[in-house]
Amino acid sequence: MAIIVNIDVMLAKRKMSVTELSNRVGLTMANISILKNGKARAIRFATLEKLCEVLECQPADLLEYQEEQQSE
Amino acid sequence: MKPKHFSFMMKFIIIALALFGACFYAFMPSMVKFIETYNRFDMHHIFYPWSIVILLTAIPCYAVLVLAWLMAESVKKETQFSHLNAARLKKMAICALADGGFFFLACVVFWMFGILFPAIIIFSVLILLVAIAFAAVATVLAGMVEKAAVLQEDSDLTI
Repeated sequence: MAIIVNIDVMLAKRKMSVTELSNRVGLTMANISILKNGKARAIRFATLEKLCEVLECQPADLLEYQEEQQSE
Repeated sequence: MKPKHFSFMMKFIIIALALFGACFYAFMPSMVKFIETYNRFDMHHIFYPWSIVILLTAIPCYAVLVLAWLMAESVKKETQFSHLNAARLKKMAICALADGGFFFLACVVFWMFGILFPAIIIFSVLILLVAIAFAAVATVLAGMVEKAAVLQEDSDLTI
């Protein structure tokens, strides 16, 4: 997918574990894993808001656009 | 209705249909003998060709029942809106068309060989129409289940 969710980077910056993030944001570990692995189709504003609040960052810090390489 | 109850009901209907079919195929030779005796028709020369054709038509019918059983299982697990079930419905449509088409073609062939009662050809057209109607409904349902599966995936992968 062209949109990358940089949760790992922000977790490392905040020195926070995935379990702690899961507890504080109220997402299941399975859903955090879907976000981290880039398998998510969409993200709700409410979820993004909670992530930004817990990780003390902006949406742009979490989301990044990378152009997809087309296979020949 | 809860999925578990709905699945149970589906399975009950499938078992009832399978038993009804089994009874029909098991007692068919006796029924033919009864008709032969009662109506004084000489059906000896047409008994085996017709028996083979009628028994062959059972294969797609039971294939549809197996697919329906698998769908009932998925209803129980609440995974009814899946690409797999859409594919199963498409296979059901193909089975119905194959069954109706085969019976109609067999009737045409038997008519050419002169071993067909004229009334049966009308009956075969009726069977073909029912098969086409069933296939149409199954195809429409397959399309709807396919779309529902995509929406379900979107919903599951929206965090």
